[in-house]
Amino acid sequence: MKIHHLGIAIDNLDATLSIFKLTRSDISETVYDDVQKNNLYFIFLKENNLWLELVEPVDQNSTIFKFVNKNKTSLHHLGFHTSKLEMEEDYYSKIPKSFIIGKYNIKVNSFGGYINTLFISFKGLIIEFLN
Amino acid sequence: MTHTEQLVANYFIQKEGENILDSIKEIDFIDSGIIDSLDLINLAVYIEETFNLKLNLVDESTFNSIRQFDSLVKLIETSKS
Repeated sequence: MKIHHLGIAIDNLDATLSIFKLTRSDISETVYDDVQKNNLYFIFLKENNLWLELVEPVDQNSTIFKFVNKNKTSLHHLGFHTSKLEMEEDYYSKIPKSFIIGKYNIKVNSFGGYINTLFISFKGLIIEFLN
Repeated sequence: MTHTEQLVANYFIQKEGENILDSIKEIDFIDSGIIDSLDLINLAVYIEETFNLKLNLVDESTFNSIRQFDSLVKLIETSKS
């Protein structure tokens, strides 16, 4: 599996950017996810050939509202690119202590347009597969 | 309490303490903040380990059943039978 991005839940955009010595001008794209009720900020880290996805809850209906309230800014998930989303879903739905926790379709131009995503939890770690 | 109820209650006692038993049947675990998204996964792991039952967390009716004690117990008992 090829790691694609790090998903970081944030409670304050500017404070989080300063952690990584970044500014708002480094943000490639901002997407409002109206299903999960989050603002998504995408930043490409050239040195690492890796995306950062900063996930900011917009209100208390956000899927990460309580997570951010509890953990503030912290690593939320690891994103992996896959060409076989259904195979990943089948695999992780069968192994012990692994759960499918969400499936979404969202447009992210930085990732090439509409993408399908699959969120799984495996032994406490949240992984997002996307294609 | 039935055996299933006791085992489910044990999860919440470990998490919140014995006092939760006073209101465990009235609480909405999600709305009250007792269960957030990560706790939901921990609860699902506990149920899998304890009852050998894997919950489908993306199923809306399963999610709604997890919200309250009685519906969660009923979900476990009906899924096992």
